[in-house]
Amino acid sequence: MPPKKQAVRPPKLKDVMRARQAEMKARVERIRNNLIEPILARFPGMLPTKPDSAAKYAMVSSTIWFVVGLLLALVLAIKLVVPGFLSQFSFLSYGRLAAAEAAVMAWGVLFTGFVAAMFAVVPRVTGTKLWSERIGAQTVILHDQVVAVGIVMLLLGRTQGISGLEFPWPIDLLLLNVMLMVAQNVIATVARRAEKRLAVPLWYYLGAVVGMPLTYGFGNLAAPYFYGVDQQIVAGFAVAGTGAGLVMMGVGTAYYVLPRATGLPIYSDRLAIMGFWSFVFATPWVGQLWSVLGPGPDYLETVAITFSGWLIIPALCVFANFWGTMRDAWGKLFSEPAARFIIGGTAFLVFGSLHLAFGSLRSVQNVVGFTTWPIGTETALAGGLGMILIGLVYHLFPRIIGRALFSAKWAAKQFWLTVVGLATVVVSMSVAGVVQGYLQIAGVQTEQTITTGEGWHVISLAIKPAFILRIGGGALVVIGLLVFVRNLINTVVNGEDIEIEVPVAAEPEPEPVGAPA
Amino acid sequence: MIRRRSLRGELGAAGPGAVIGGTIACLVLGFVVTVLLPITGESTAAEAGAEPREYDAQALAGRALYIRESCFACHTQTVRDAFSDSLLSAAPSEAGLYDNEAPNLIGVIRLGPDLSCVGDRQDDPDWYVRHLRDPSAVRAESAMPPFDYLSTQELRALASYLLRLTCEVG
Repeated sequence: MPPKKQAVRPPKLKDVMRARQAEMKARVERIRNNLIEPILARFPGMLPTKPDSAAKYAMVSSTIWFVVGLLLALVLAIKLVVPGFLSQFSFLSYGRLAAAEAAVMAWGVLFTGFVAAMFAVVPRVTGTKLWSERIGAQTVILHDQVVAVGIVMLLLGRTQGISGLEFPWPIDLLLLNVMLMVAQNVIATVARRAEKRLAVPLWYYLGAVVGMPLTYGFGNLAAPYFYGVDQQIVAGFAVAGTGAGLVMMGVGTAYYVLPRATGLPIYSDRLAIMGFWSFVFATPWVGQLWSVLGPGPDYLETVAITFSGWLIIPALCVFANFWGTMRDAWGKLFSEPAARFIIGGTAFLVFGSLHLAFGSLRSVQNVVGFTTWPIGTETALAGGLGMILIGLVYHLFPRIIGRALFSAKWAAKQFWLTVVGLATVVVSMSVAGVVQGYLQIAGVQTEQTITTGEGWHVISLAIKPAFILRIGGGALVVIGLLVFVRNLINTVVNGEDIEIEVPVAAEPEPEPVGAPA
Repeated sequence: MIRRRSLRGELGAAGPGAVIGGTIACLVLGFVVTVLLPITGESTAAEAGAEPREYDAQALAGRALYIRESCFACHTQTVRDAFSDSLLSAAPSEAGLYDNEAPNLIGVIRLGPDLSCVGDRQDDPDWYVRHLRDPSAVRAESAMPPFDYLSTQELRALASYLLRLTCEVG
C-alpha cells in the first residue's frame, strides 16, 4: 500500500510572493532610513515634509507667473496699437512674445495654480495626506524651471512653429515629466484615500491628470513629424486635450471651493458627474474647431462643430449646479471673496463655451473665421479659469499660512476690476472680429482689395479702437492683480493669526508591535 | 438582484479606476475617429488636389526665419472656402498644397493679410526687404512691427520665401 500523500505541502505561490514582497519592502525601508533620509534631512527648504508645503510653493509660483504673464499680455496689446513699441530687440518682437505670453498663461499660471489646487484639495477631500509632499514640492520647482527655460527658448526664436504647441521638444518632454509626477502624486493619494466615496473634485482632477499627459505628450512629440493637414489634425487633438485638462482642473477646483467658502452643500453631485462625463466624452472631438472652412477634411470640421455645441451641456451642468447651490444665499457672494471669484469665473467659463459653440458654426465662421473673434473666446475661457484660481488662493492661502486675509474689500475691488477688464477685452475683440469679417465681405462685394496688403489698412483702422479698448481692459485686470498681490503680501506680513487648517486630522501613532511595556 | 442594485446604486459611487478608465476610453475613441482614421485613411490623399510647393535653399532659409519670427502668429497661409476669401485666389487652398510642409504654417488668425498668394500680388524682392525693415514707411497705416534687427541677407531670404507663395495655376 503506497503511503498516503499527506506529506509537506509546497507553499503556495501567492504566499511566496507575499513573503518576497514584504522582504523587499523591508529592504527598501532600510535603505530609505539609513541612506536617503539623512541626505534629505539636510535640505528641509527644498524637500519639505510639512503638509501643504507643495501647494504653498505652487500657489506662490503661480501668482508670480500671473504678474509676469499679464504684463507680457499688456505689452502685446500695446504693440498691436503702436507697432514700433519695444520692437528694436529681437527677443521682444511681437510673434515671439505672443508665443511666450500664451505659454506663461497656460503653463506658468493656470497649470501651476491648479497643481497647487490639487496638492491642497486632494488630501482634504480624501482624508489622506499627500502621497509625497517632497516630490510635490520638487515637481513645482522643476516645473518653474522648465517653464522659465521654455520661455527663454521661445524668446530666442526656438519655436516648433505650431500654434498652441510652440514649445520645442526638450521642453515638451520635461513638461510631460512634470505632468506625470503630478499624476503619480494625485493618483497615489486617491488610491490611499480614507473617504471611500470619490468627491466631485476628484473626478475632475483624475480626468485631467490622466488626459493631459496623454494628449499633450502625444500631440507635442508627434505633431512635428506630420506634414500639412495631418499635422493640423494631430496638433488640434493635442491643443483640445490640453485645454480640456486645464478646464477640468478649474471646474474641479470650483466644485471644492464654492461649498467650503459659502458653507452650502453642492446642489447635486449627480449633475456634476453628468457634466464631467459629457465634457470628457466631447473634448477629444473638437480639435478642428480653429480650422473650420480650411483645407482639412470637411467631416472633421463638422464633428468639431457638433461637439463644441455638445460642450454647452457640461457648461450648463456647472451653471445649474452652482445656481442651485447658491439659490437661497446669494448674499454670501458679497461676504466671501473666494465664492465671488468662483461664481464670476464660472460665469466667464460658461459664457466662453457659448461663445465657442456659436463662433464655430460654419455660417458664423464665414464672417468671423481668422479674425480677432477667437481672442474673445480664449480670453473668456482663460480669464474664467484665472478667476477660479484666484478664488482658490483667496480661500486656501490664508488657511495654509495661518493668517486671516488682510482685506476683503480689496478683494471686492479686484473682482470688479477683473470682471470689467475681462469683459472689455472679450467684447471688444468679439466686436472687432465681426467688424473685420464684414469688412472683408464688403470688400469682396464691392471688388475692392481689402483682404490683401494694399487695402488692409481699412481693417486695421476700423478695429484699432477695439485694440485701444483692449489695452484699457488689460490694464484694469493688471491693476486688479497688483491689488491681489499686495493683499497677499499684507496677509503674510500683518494678517491676524488664525488656526492653520490641516488637510488631514493627525492620527495617533500606532503602538509599535512588540514594544517593551 | 445585481442589476437592481447597479440601477439603484448612485452614479457617484464609482472608484478611481472607473474614472481613469472612462477618461482613457473617451480619449482613445476620440483619437481613433478624429486623428487615426483621418491621417491613415485614403480620403485626404484623394481630395488633396493641389501640388505642394517647391523651395530652393534660400527660400527654405527664409521659411525657417518665418517660423523663428512667428510670422504665423498674425498671418495665415490658406484661402478658405468662404465668400470673404474669394478675391484672394481663384480657388480655395487644398490639402495637397501643404503636403511637404512641416510645420504647415496655415495659421489661426489674421492680424495682417493672408499670405498664401502674396507672391502673385508683389514680385519685387527689394520691396519685401524695404517693407519688412520698416512697414509703416511703405504703408502708412500698417500695424506690422518693423523687423530691422534682421540682417539684409536674412531679409532677402525671407523675401525669396514670400515670392514662392503663389497660387497661379501652372
